[in-house]
Amino acid sequence: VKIMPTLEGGLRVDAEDDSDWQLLMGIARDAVSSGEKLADRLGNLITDEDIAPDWREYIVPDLDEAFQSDLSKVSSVIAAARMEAAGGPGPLWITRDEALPWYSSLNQARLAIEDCFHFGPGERIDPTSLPPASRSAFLRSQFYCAIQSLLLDHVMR
Amino acid sequence: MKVFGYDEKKSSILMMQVHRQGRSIVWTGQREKAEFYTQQLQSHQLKTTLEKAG
Repeated sequence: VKIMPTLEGGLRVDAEDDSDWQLLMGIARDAVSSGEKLADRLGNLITDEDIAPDWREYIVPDLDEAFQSDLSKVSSVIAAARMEAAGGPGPLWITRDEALPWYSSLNQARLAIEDCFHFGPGERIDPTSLPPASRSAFLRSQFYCAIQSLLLDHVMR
Repeated sequence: MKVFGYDEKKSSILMMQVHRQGRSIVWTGQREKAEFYTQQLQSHQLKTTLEKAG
């Protein structure tokens, strides 16, 4: 995958083959890979029993709907670009307007990976010491983090 | 920065507290406002809770 800023203030992501498209489609897969939805995991942090029931009833569903909507937008963009490229080399555009759902989706994917694997701060991890499934998840998480950094530096400033 | 209007310096200090210590107290005040801020922070996918001040 090659990623570069565009003159319009977005990012251009160039997939080189179908494995790159699979990697990009992994964002949505990873985002739902934790046993519990992100909105529920966040809701569980509210432990004050005066607040928790209302939080679960009103806030959690709203958050879940927003997070799902972001994932759905990003999944559609990736699926359409992949179809356009017939699974081969081709571009995918992240426009300035779409930056927030992309950032959200990448974050959801990273949080779900962290929830499953508990890597902690990335700079302390030696990926060569990890078993294959963990190594793959760690590297995907680092890839998502790199796109988030590009979004922050070039698109969401 | 977006939720509280903190400047970059204060935001960076809070961020580094979270990074090093795992948590940071980002705001103290009335409960209703705390609930609002917590909702805002959670909508940005930040692991946030609220507690009664000692």
